[in-house]
Amino acid sequence: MLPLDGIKVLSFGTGGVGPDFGKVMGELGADVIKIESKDNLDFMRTIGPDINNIAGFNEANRNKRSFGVNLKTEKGRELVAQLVKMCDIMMENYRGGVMKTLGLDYENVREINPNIIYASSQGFGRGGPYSEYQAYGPMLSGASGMLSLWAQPDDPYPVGSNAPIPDHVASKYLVVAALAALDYKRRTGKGQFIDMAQTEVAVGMVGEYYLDYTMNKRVPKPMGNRSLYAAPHGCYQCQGDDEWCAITVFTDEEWKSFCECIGSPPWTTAPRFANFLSRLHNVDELDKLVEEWTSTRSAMGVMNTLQAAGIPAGVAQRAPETLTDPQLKEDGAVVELEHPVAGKRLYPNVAFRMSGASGFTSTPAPLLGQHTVEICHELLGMSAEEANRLADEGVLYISDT
Amino acid sequence: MTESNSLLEGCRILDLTDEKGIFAGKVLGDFGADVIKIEKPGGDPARKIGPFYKDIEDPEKSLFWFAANTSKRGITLDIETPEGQEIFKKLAKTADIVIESFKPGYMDSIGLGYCELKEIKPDIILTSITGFGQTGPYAQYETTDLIGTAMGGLARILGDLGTAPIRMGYVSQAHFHAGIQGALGSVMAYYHRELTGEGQQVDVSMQDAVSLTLMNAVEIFELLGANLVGMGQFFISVRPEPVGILFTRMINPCKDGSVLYMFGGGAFGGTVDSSKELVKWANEEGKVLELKDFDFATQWDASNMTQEECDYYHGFMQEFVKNKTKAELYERAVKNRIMLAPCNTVEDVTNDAQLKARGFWEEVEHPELDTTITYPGAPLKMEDTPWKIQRRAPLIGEHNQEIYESLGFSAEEIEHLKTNGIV
Repeated sequence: MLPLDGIKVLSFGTGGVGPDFGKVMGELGADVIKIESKDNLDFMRTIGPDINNIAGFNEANRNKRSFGVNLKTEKGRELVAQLVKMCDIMMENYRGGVMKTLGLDYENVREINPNIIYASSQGFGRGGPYSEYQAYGPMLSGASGMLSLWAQPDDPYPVGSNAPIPDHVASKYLVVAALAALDYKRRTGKGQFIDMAQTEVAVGMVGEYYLDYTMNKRVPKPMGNRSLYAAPHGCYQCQGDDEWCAITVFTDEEWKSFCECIGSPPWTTAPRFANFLSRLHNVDELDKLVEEWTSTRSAMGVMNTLQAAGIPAGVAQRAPETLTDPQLKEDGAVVELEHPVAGKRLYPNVAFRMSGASGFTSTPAPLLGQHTVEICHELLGMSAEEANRLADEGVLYISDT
Repeated sequence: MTESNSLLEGCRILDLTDEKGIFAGKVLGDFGADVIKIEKPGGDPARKIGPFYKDIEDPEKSLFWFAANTSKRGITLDIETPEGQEIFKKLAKTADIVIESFKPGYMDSIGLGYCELKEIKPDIILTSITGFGQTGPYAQYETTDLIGTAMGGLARILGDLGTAPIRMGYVSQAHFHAGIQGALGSVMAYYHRELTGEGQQVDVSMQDAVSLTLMNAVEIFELLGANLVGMGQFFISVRPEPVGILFTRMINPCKDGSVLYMFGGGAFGGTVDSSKELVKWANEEGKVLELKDFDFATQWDASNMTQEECDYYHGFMQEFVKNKTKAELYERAVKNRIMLAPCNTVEDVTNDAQLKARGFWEEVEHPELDTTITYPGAPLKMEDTPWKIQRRAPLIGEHNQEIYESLGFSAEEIEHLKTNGIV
């Protein structure tokens, strides 16, 4: 049995946060129905030539069923209202104001399902001057201050973040909130409205530096991979084409082992590297010397040699290497799924294992309208003929394959 | 706040983590759980992590500690001594969840592994947050934040072409990803237990948590064979060979720093309107007239255009943006829905109008420092069960008295434990 068996989630998500939220809820057993419209697609379906075969969409939209419906028709809205009535959780992350124009904002939805948990997530949250501003994940890395720390000290501009980190933390944060709200509902019978701002989640990830600013009036500057507490601390070039290994040496004991590991070349006994503070002071030179050692070895070799001596070291893996990484494989962190168009592919799995809940479900991302007929039949008590008729009338959308 | 409108009401969590897993308890505490941070007598090593209040290096003045331990109470206890272990077991009897981040096997070695804890409290949940998970070839490997970021595949994607992989500067990031997954796994197990009465062990891997933040990098490789490396500041359009990847620079210099914006069009609907608005603004000022009648929906064909064409068109806009300030650009962007945000400094964010309007910042009293400190507050608002910082981070052993008394220890016994270095 899975923890969320029997929980129904209606997802009006687009981009990163909404779909990722549904993906996790689905992995944990919830029945997640993605409400989609051909005229107003999840934008992730639009960033390539085939709406049913987009890499990013396929990853973030696993574990959902797709219900294709035109919300501009009265009948379409009526069918969705019936689904709203049946669900435990509704989630949306459209631009502020969009759900209201669809008549699906919390105030309206509560009329038909008073105890619903309604999770709303916008880049900048509800209320305030930016409430209806359109956001895109990487923009929030900028707006939250994260990017200002994401560069080498002499870089002319930040070099993060194609990976929209705020989205990925925000979606998990929202799952925690939804589960806590489910537990609260179980105890009290009451649902509620959750209003998340992705920028605010991101600001929280840099928490101590906001305290540093308010208390010490210090504006932190980027320092690349360096640390104030460790040296060497960085990614060092290894043998081969653009291969790197991360190494972090915090304590003097770790430093001693590190020196032995690299064969105790004479420079390691120089007084200017004798203790942490002197190493930090001479870190430019230290980094060069460390790299002299790493550059003649494979990244994997550097990691394994140093780890054998208890030094934290790890290959800076390319994204696809995580799919074949022996540790992630052993952890069950990768799952193979067969998508109707993309075929058999590997996908990252849930980030944790639970001893008591076995068999996390994972299903491939749906084609647009793939489950329309099935949902009509199962939840709306409609025959296939009826669903097809509504599709002909432009109310529903049913995928061809 | 009354008991009845609290999330996770009555959920007690014992937090044994170091900086690797420290955020999990914070998140759950802020949501309303009763989190007890258990430190070594003398204080947790994470208290040595800066920055520090008024730059005074002191275990009671670590701003990292403050930020990572809101809403927790704190006790000291030496769980490496038999007496300490017995006390921990007494505590475990009152707890729902134990969160730890020791190396795999350590809790077993001191007689406090999942099997032992289950004996004492059959429905207990044990959440273990480690670098690489409980089993597997790297399970015993050492880890730090940078190692997790590197091994999870994130560092390599970021950075500039041809330069070293990079993480976000000196802030715990892999630790944060592990922490939020630890909170998620814990609350999931808790929910499961409330329904079924069964406890369980939750095994969180930092490497795994980081690998889940790569967005579409893994699937882009799976589907198109393209490897995203060192392209932090670009928007990527992946096309099959021979045209290959198209890079559109998102992060661009402006007059007083950098801004991040989307520029382009074609099928990616949002960028068409956004780019048009940007051009319209420039045209009003007599700039970027080269793109006056450019149709971003049809003429910006990201699936076929060459890198030279892309850079040529974008070059006009980069020139315009270069002469504007972050504030000017942002103001216009919000007004006309241009997908642009400034690369804010911490100072900019502190003054941000939206965060202020939402009442984001929370004033938290620190009577021991005779001051009030402004904290980042609720990342989400819940109408029925307000999220809040329940209390500031604990001082060393601050709640020893009240918690040990609640376990039935007398004042003399507590004093005795102190003298023997157990608490």
